Amino acid sequence: MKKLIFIFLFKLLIFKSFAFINIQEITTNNGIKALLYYNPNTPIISITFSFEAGSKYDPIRKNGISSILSQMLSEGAGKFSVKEFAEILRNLSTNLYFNSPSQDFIIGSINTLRTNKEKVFNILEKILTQPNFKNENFERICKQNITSIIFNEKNPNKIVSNEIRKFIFKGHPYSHPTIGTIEGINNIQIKDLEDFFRKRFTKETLIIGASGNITKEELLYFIDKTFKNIPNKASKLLGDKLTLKQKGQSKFITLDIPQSIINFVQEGIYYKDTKEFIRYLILLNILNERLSKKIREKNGLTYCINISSILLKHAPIIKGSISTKKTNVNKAIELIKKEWEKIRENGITIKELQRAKKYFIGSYPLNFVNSKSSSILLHKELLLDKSGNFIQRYKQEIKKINIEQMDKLAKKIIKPKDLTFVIAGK
Amino acid sequence: MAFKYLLIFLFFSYNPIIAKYFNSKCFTLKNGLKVIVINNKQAPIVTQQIWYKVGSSNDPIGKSGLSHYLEHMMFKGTTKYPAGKFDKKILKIGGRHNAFTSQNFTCFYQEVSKEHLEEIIKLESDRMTNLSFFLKESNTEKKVVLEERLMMIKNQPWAKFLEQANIIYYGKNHPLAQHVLGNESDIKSFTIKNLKRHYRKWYMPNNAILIFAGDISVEAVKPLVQKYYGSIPSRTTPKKSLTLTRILQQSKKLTYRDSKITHPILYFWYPAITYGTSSPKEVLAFSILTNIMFNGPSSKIGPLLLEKKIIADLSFSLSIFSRYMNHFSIATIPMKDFSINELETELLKIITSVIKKGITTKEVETEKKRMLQHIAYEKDYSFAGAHTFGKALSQDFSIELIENTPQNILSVNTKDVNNIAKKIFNHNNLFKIKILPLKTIKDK
Repeated sequence: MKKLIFIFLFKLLIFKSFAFINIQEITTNNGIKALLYYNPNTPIISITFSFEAGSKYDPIRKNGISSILSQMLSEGAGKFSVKEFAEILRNLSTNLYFNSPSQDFIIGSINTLRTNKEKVFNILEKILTQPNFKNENFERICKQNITSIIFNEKNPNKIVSNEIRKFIFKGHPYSHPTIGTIEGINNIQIKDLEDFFRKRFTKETLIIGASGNITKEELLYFIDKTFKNIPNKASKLLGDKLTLKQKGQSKFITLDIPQSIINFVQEGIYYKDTKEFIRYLILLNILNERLSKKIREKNGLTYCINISSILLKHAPIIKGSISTKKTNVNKAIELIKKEWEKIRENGITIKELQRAKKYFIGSYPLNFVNSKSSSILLHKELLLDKSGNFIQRYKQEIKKINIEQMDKLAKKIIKPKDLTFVIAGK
Repeated sequence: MAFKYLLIFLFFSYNPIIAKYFNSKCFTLKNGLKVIVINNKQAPIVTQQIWYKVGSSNDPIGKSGLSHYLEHMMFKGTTKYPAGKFDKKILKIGGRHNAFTSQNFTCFYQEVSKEHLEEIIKLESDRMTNLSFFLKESNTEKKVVLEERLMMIKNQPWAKFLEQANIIYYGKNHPLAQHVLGNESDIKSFTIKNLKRHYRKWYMPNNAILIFAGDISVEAVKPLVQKYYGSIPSRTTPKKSLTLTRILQQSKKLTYRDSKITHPILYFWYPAITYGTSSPKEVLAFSILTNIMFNGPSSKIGPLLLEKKIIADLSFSLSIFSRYMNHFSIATIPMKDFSINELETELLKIITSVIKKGITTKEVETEKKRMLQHIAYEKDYSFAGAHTFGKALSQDFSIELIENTPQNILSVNTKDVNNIAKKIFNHNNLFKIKILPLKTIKDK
C-alpha cells in the first residue's frame, strides 16, 4: 500500500552536468558509501538508505521475516514504547521508517528538519544498536500482516502479480511474496528476527543517498557515528544469477472481474556499465512510447499500459502491465507481441533516438524537485553503480549513442518468443 | 504489503502554507487571467499549472464525467499542434506533463528545466482556446475513459460500493454526488457538441488560475504570459451553483456484501468543515482536532491500535479547500480476530469519550506547534505549494486565506477545538458504511 515500488522508471536516470547539481561522493572511515546533494536553500534533510535484507533471505518456512522486521524497526527502540516513539517523531516533525519494498532490500527513510538532525540521527543509532523486539509489538505486527494478506486475497492486481512472480521465479526465493505467507508468519519467532537483523544489517551492504541542508562534513560525521556499531560483514550473500522459468509461456487465471488484467515479463539485463545500461533504458523508453501510442492512443484499448525495468539483483526483468475489457485481450496481446517483434527486427528511428536522448538529458533535474525525491534518486544510483561513477559518466555516454548501437542492443535483448504472459479475467 | 498507520502528514503538507515562504507574487492580465508566481531555488526547474474553475460538480445533468472527458480531449490537439504534437514537444525538452480533474477544478501541468519556460507557456496557452474536436479521436478517447472507469471503480469491489454510497450520502442531484469519472451510460452518451459547449462555457482566461513555481521570477514570467495568454479574449464568466452548506442526508447505515471482499472495512463519514462553509479558524480547529484524534499510535485512537489491537489499519481524509460542505472520512480495518461490530463499538467509545472529556490545552498547543513546524516541508517542495494555491484560488478563496494560515493556526484555542468536536462528532451526523464478505460467522 504505502510501499515504495523499487523500480527504475526510465525517466529517472539521466544526468547532465548542470551547475546546480553538485553531487558529492562520500566514503567514510568505515568504508560506507554515500552520495550527497547539498542544498542550503532548504530547511529539510532527507536520507534514503538500504541494507541487502529483503525477503529473499526469509527461510521458506518463515516467509515474512523481512517485512515484520522493517515494521518493528519503524516503531521504536530502546526503552521507548511505540506510543512514546511515535510522539517523539511527531514532535520533531520527522518521518523515520523502514520498509521492504523489494525481495532484495530493506530501505530506511528519514525526512527531518535541519534543526533536529542531532536528535534524529541519535534515534536512528538507537534503532540500530538497541532495536525493540518486544513480544507485544511482534505479535501485533504479525497479526496486522496476516490481516493484510487476508484482505488482499481477492485483489485482482495482487493475484496477477503474485502469479507471475511464482511462474517466472519458480523454485527461487524471489517467488515468495515480500509480506510473507500466513503459514510462514505463524512460524516466525522473535529470535528469528534478531538473527536476521544481526546477519543482514551490516556495513557491507549499506548504501546511502542524502539530500538537503547537510554538508559533506556533517554527513560524514553522522554516518560514522550512527552506523559504527553494526557488524562489518553480512552473513553469506546470495550471489547466483537466475534464469527465468516458463519463458514464452502463458497462464490464464479465471477471475470474476469486469476488466481483464494482463502482466507480461521477459529477461532484462544486469548493470555492467553505464554505457550499455543507458542504451537499455533508452530502448525501453522508446518501446514504452510505441506501446502507449498503439494500444491506448490509436486503439483505445486501455487507460494505461506501462513497461518498466525492475532491477532485481539476481534476475533483472522487463515487466509490463495492462488492463482491458475481455473482448480486447487477444488484440492487446497481439499488438504487444507485434511491437516487440518490430523493435527487434527493425530497430528504432533516428527521430526516436534524438527525442529520447533529449528527454533523458532534459528530465534529469526534475528529480531534484524536493529533498526526498533527490535522496531516493541518489540512493538508487549508488545501488546501481557502487563506484558512484554513474552520474559522472552519463553525460558523455548519452551523446555518443548512435542508432547502430541501439539496433544491435534491441536484437540482443528484445525476445518476443520469450515473453511470458499471465492473464486474469472471465 | 503490510499495513501501516497511514501517513496523514502528507495531507497536511498540502494544507497550511505561508505565502511569504514562497515569496509568492500575483498579477492579473486585462482579460482576467490571474497569475501566481512562487519562487523557489531548490533546483533549476519550473512547473506551470493552469487551473480551470470547472469540475465534476459542473457536469450537466445526464452528462456526468463530461469535465473529466474534456480533460482527456485537451491532449488531442489544436490546429497548430495536432494530436500527439503537444506530448512530443514536451518530451523533447525533457518535460513531464499531465492533468487531473476533481469535483471543483481541472488542472493541467508541465514540469521542465527553467530554460524551457516559454515553450510550455506557448503550448498551454494555445489549447485554452484553439482545441480541435475530431470525431475519431473523441471516440477512441471515450473507450479509454471507459477502461479507466473499469480499472478505477468496477474492478475494485470497495470502490464500486463507495461510489454508490457517495450518491446516497449527498442525494442524486447534489454536485458532489457523482464520481468524477461519471457513470457508464452518461459517458457513452457524450457527443462532440457536448464537448464543444463545455469547453466554450468554462475554458477562458477569466475562469482560470495560472501558477508558476520553481526557480523563476515574476519579472521573467510576466512578459511571456502577456505575450501568449494576453491576446486570448475574456468571455462571460459562467454562473456557478450556490454554495451548499447543508448535507441533506443525516445518520444512516449502509451494508454491502460481495464475494470478492475477503475482509471487512468500516467507514465513518461525518459532515466536514471546509473553507467554503466555515471560518478559517474553525477549519484549522478541525484540522487540529482530527490530528489529535486519529493521527497514528500517539493519537486518541492509539489504544485501539496498540493495547487493544482491534484496528489493523486506519486512514482518515479531509479536504478543507472546498466550496461545498463535504465529508470527513475515517476508514478502519479490523484486526483478523475481531468483528466489524466490535470495532464499531470501540471506535464510537473513543469518539464519545473525546467529546465528553474534551481535548486539553496542552494537546491543542502541542498540535499547533507541530503544524507550524511542518510548514518547513512546504519550503522544500514548491510544486506542492503551487498545488495548494491552485486548489484554493480555483475555488475563489483568497491568497490571504493561505498566507494567513500560520496566524490562523495560532488563533485557535482549546475552546474552539472542543466546540468543533461537539459539532462534528455527533452520533446523529454519523453515516456508517460497512463493506463485508458474503458470509462470516462473526458479522451477522
